Amino acid sequence: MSAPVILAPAPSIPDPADGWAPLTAEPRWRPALRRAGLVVAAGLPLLFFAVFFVYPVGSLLGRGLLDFPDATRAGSGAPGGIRGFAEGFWEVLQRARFRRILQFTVEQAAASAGLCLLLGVPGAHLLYRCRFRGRTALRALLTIPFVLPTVVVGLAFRTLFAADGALGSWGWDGSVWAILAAHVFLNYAVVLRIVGPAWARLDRRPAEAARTLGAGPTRTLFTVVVPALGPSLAGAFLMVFLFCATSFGVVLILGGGALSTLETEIYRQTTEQLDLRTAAVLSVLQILLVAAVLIIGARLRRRTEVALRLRSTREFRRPLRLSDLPAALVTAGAAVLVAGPLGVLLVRSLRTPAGWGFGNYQALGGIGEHNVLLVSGAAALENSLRTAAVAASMAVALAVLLAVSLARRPARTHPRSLLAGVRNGLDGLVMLPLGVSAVTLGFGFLLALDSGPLDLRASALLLPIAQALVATPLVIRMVLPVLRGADDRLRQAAAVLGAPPGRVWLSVDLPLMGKTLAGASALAYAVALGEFGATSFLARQNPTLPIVIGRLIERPGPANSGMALAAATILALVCGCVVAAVDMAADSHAGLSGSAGGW
Amino acid sequence: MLTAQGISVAYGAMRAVDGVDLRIPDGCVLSLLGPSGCGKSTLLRAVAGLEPLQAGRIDWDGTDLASVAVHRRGFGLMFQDGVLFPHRTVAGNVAYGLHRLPAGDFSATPPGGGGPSKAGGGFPGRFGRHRRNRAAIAARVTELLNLVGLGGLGDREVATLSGGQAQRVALARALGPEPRLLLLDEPLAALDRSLRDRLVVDLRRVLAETGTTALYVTHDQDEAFAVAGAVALMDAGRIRQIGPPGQVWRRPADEWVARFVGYETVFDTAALLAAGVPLGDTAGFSAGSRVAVRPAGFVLDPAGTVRADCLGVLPGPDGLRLTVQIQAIGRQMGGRSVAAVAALGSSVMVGDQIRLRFVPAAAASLAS
Repeated sequence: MSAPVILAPAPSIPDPADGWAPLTAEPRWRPALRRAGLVVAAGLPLLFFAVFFVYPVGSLLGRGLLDFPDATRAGSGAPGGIRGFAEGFWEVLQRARFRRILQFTVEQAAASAGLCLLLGVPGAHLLYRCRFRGRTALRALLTIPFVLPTVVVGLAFRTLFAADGALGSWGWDGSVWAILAAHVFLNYAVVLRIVGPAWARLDRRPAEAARTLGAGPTRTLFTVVVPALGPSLAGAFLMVFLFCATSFGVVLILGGGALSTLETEIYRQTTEQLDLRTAAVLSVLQILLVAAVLIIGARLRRRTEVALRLRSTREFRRPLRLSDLPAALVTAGAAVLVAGPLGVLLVRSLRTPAGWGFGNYQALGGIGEHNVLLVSGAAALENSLRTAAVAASMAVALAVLLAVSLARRPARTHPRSLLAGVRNGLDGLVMLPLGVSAVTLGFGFLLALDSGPLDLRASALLLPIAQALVATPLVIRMVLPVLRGADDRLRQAAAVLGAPPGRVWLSVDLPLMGKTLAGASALAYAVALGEFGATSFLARQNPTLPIVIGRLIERPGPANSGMALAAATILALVCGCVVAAVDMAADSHAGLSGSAGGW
Repeated sequence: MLTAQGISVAYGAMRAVDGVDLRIPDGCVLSLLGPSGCGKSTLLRAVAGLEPLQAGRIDWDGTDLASVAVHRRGFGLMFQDGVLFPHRTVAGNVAYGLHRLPAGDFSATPPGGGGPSKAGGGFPGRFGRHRRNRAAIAARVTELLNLVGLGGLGDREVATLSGGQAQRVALARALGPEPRLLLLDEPLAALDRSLRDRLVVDLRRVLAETGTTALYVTHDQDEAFAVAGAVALMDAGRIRQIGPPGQVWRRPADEWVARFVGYETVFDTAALLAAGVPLGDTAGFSAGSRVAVRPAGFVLDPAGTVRADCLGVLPGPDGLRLTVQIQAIGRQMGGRSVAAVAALGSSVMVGDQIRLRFVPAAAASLAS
């Protein structure tokens, strides 16, 4: 079929290949080197996860389940090995207390997530699909709680609902309502950020078609809009569920002794009962629960990421109408729920035993009433800021390296390759630190990283490493959808224009995720700053501010609780400022990826 | 010169490209024409190096490209919908491929003259060089934007461009590095008809002015014949015919090609003769071969020699389009109808018995 195409070219045509290097076959080592680079990019973070996550957590679970002598029943000859594991598991499940705890964990998380959706969906409509003065500011205000340390939130709600608090008469102190309120407060922004952008970019034509076919606004909402938003709604629900099911600081502070989740129970069993066996069983239970949620979430995500195209589709936004009133009322209520506790925290931090003033803040320069602190509050703040900076840089570096290898979709020619399978597995693995109890992680660090070359107990890096592990999944979840949603042909266009793989990455991938990466760094910083579960094990000698707060509220004395309130206010301000600054910077040129990276 | 020999690309069990041979001499434009899903875009991506070959070999001037990575081939690629970098301005997009621009003003290089040559063939794509040649790059970007008729739009964000403008930017971007071979993947398919008609003329002019060697993939035959010096017709992964447009029109290789380029009906010569078509008067129609006829091959004419029944009349801007059944061969062709034309204003109604005149210029003898 090779009929020759002979056409005389125009006479004065320049040789088009003038500007190009002569075509030479690439040396064999070059593609090999490129592949090796990719392997290293994926391998480094994997090694990090293996050494600092799988090994400590695994060895804690191993000791608890397989061979750690059972402290509570020493001498009773509890069996070790696999049989011990099975028996231990069975035994724990038999105890009514633990069944109650498991049930409470799931129920409160589901209730929190449901409430968040109920309150958040009207907010998503108002803040992402309508145009009105103050929209950006309101969105920023409602986002602040998510980055607040749980200790701060717990303290704020405890102050609010305490017998002498502003809402003391409601009798919510130590009740499940206080926990639910705090969880909604913390996670309201998750619903906003997941559902809002998806809704703003929703193709409006199906809804318009439904209206022309005679469906009223309500019927259109429930038959067309809600199904189209389904994956986002489910994703938001699962995310909030996950955060609430593993919530530690809030439940510990607000639940008193009566209410506990798996996470707080693991903490109690480890530190108070010294029952590693039960703690390990509970940890495994929690991992299973979280893994189930993550698997469902990954399924949903695969569906939505396909739909997400980073083409700068103009977002739909219209002025407010009267029909937005219910949504506006709900959102206003949410704003009050957000502003209230923060206001109470600020006001109460200014009330000292000697009257109004900055006495509590000045007291942070010392070590508290009855010398309850090892270091001064100021020293702890400095330690917090420094540690969080190191942790956030680690988390971002890890996430970027992982994103490079996770974002590449397998070629169409071999869609179901081994590589694709490995990639999906990796994807799930890096999310696990979200679900593994931070308490387990912290205690695992203490147990495992104490000998040989890994004796890091005295190292200043131990704490930032633990915090980075907690923050990395969040960064990845923000960056990955952007990279995966990006049109792969952009990279091909760059390559065809002569860009080698490194330049493709620098000039296409990096700019595409730039803004999201900035936001993710800020979030990682805030998360590291407020991390409480793992830090409470690792920062005993050199505590961070959240640990100081936790310690201050455990101890009696009005001066101590005043100091705690002052410290919490400072922490809230720092976190709020960091995230707000990045958010505003991203919003000021929000044409492109402004809202593409919702978590 | 691009030479492809027996190349195949497979997706799983499906052979998207199946043993294709191609040759594009320097300075020529070959258009790859076929229905959607025939494998033409895959073939183009294989040439670019974006799809791995299952079999066969692609050469440039005798060098096997198998071990030359995409970014080192020096081929340009223009996508159907531009695929502009959203984070760069118009000028930033056009400048992207210019980082290998040698020192000195590129636009001052005389055509055909020995432009600043790459001594030693060292790989020039380095950022330091990019910085040093900022002025040269800016000049080249301006030149390219003027070439595609977008002078002065360099600072625009790509999100603000119309579809036609975006495609012009994509063309300028692809032409920027003076590719050895420009691959165009249905570059006008996403645009509306009138815009396409205008852009096709511009595209032809730009390709000719720059003397670019190009492979132009499209499913629109008007576009293919307008832009290219030669056309390759592709179906189900195989090339059916390849040749200059005139040759494809005058002598389609087979019935499929004939139908694809607009011949609606294919007759046996014997049947045409029986119907009263004076084939003998016309050179080029040999007995025993088959003849493909366009709608304009039969014109309503009371003095015509072909008797037919009128089955349908459809008015159009250029005249009436008739659906007829030729009496002598209606049964032979399984009762199938044939298209014919009539001048606007002709008085012809459904059910009329009419006479048609055969127009040899609108018919072609099949090569096989």
